[in-house]
Amino acid sequence: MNRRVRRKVARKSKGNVVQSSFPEVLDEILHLEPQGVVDWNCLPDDTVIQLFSCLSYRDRASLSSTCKTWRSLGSSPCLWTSLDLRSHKFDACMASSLAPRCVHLQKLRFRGAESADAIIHLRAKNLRELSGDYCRKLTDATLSVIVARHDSLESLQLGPDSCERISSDAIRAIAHCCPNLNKLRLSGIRDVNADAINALAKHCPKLFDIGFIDCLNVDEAALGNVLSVRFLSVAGTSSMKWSVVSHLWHKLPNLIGLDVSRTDIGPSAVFRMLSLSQNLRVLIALNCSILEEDTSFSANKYKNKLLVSLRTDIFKGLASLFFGNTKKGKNMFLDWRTSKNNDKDLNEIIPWLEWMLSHTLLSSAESPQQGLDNFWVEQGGALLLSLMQSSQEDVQERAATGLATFVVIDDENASIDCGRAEAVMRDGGIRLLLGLAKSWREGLQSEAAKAIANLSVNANVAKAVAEEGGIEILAGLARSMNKLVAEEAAGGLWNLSVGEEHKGAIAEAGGIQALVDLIFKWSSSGDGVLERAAGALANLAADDKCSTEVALAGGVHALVMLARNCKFEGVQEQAARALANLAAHGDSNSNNAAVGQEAGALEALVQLTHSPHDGVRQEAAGALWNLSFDDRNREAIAASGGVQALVALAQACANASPGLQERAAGALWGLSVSETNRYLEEFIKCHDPLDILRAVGDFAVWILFECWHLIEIDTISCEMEMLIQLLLREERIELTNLFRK
Amino acid sequence: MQKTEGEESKAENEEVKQVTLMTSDGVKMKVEISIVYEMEIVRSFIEVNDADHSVPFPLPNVSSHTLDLIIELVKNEYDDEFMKTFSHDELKEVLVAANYLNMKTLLDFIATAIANLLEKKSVEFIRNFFNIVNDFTPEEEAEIRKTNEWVFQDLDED
Repeated sequence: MNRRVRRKVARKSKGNVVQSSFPEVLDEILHLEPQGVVDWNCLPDDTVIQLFSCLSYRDRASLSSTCKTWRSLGSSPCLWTSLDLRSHKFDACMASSLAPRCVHLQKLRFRGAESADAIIHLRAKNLRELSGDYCRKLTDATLSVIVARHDSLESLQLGPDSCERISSDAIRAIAHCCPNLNKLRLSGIRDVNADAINALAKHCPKLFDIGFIDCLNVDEAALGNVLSVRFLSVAGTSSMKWSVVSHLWHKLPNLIGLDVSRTDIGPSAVFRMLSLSQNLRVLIALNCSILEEDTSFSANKYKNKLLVSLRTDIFKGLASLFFGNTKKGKNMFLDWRTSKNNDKDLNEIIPWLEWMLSHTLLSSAESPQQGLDNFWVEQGGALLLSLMQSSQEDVQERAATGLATFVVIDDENASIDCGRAEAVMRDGGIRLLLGLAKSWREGLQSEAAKAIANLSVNANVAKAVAEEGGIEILAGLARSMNKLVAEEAAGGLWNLSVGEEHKGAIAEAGGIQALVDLIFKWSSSGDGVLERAAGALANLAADDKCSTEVALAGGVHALVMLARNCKFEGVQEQAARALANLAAHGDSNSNNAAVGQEAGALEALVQLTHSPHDGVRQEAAGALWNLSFDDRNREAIAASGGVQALVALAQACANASPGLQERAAGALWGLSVSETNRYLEEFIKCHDPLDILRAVGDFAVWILFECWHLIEIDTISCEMEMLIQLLLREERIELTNLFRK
Repeated sequence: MQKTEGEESKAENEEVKQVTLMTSDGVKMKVEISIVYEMEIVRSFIEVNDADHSVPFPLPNVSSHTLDLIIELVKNEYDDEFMKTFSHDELKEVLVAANYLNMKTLLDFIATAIANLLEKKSVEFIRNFFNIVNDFTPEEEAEIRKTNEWVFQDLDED
């Protein structure tokens, strides 16, 4: 071994500190290495491990691959207590290769039923916390095997998607296998029956946190038997018998938090819980329409009990709960964590409250309802910002997703609610989101980037994002190996690149190269990421300087590849638009010729004019128009059947958008400006010229101007003569000019 | 362990709250005590020994240039913009020094900064950055690629 990382010296014991005026120390000083050269053999283990801990799994793998010492440091148990596999393909083979490093694994996040099947191969016997999403296909059998192999499990969370195939049988298995279970939150189970709940009550004495969220049926009466429960959520669960609930649950001796959001609970059940339950301190009932309709209901009289509903002042309520009514800002969760409070209940209530609030706020943002406008502007947005600073990563993620979602009015037209977006900005949301985006955790990166992207549709927010250094951060994320992260980052750059003032900054941050690179990286699999990257490049290519950079970065090849091979219309449209913009700079750069010379480019664009999608046809015609300014391109377009295609397009789009019509006609005109005119000659001979002239509208006169000598005078009908006269009058061109040509 | 006795200069302690540090290149630097207090290695010595602050405290692993950078960083309350002016070598020197001096906040700050530089970099870049010699056999390299395979596999589309 030719190098060794030194262990940190035991300098924490005070006696060992280096003293002054020791001859041997001075001696050491004299023998130090020459100035400026640092001996990296001296970098202590814990500092190297600290570097590892600041980086993503991919970067950790790179660090581990440098040398033997760093490899062994990369396997340190402290780096492997928690693992988030959500963005990785995870199968039995992968799990087996990870197993030696997972002996001390305590916390695992996974995504999807296939990953769930592989979990047991990790042989992580000490696993305490397991959390999975996208578990629609997860079966009772898989879940039962997982809990049987991990009997130390303390926390199990599956959601927010419905666990459609999980039944009460699996819940019974959980109860029998995991005696230490203290937290169980499951989403979307069809039927949670009395047997299952009673098994939990019997075998899991430490179970204090239960969530049966968005379920279809839950046995209310049996839940009344789980005496250990302190926090209970049945948010979004249907067919609850509230009369049973209100007669039984207030007797739960330890219940301090109850979440009944998004249910049909009414005032009387809420009243009974608040007035009769001994220890209840928080009742969350957000989005409960029956409760909200009863305007006479007020929760003010229940001292020391907080009702969180759409009609209450949530911040004031939380302040009274956390700080006994001392006035605080809107950042209560953070304030609470930084304050030195020793209320044991509250230390448990707050993480639970954050989790449940983030859950309900996100689902409310995802299915917008009438009448929530005031709530979002006055409280919802600020709550999401506050939750983004939670110490729980999944709460932060959901809050960021919530922010990304609640500002959107219309997905299709990318329109957002400016009032909401600017409110987020005013409350410091941009800085918070950029902070999350800088985390090494990819789940946070992608959700934060998505929120930044959506908010940046608003020009004022985009400006703030740029000012806070957001462009650099997004350009960095666009280089991510994680497709979801790269996709959201490219979306952010797309929206930011609308602003003229941001284009140069994106180029400067290396954004153009990153966007081009990610087209190659996901050229075959990733419509979303490709559309966003091409869209951003299209906006950037509209700028003179940036268009040169796009070409230098290999953008022409990338975009032509998309125009040729990609089957997804959104990608085709953006790629064609990008090529059109690249070719729009005339003589100021050589892009026009470069696009034409790229193999298959012109054929691909001609092909795209046949697309059933208006947007694709319009951008393809636009690209051909711009490209037709170059002599060689004109020939090549005509050789690829461009003239016929454009005539057909011009004729077919008489009722289409003016943009499409203009571009089709413009492209035809572009082709007609030729020294030989031989392309148009061909089609003028085989079509009725009148049809063409009608189809190309205002461009007719210009095409006529170019092709006049090709039209034989005796074939001109009366109708056509009138049209020509009309055109000429409008354009104030003397008929004699035409004939002279 | 021998204690430093410096009776003749004790009077100076009262008026100037500074500690003299001697760097590896033999430069004596007077540093404000508030900054010195962030250096656990010096602080623990001063607190225990009630030492004479005018006798230079030797820092055989920290050069005067690095100490200058550290003092500026602390004075600027760990300013990102200032840190961005550092060369790679300077960053690495500050990291080693922060670790040696046991400066928790500085260590976190500089480790994050260096981690940012290493983000998405190749193994070769990292080896060059830290002057690490590749001591793997080709077989071991193949094995490592296999153990790290999981991070380079993306999730399939649903």
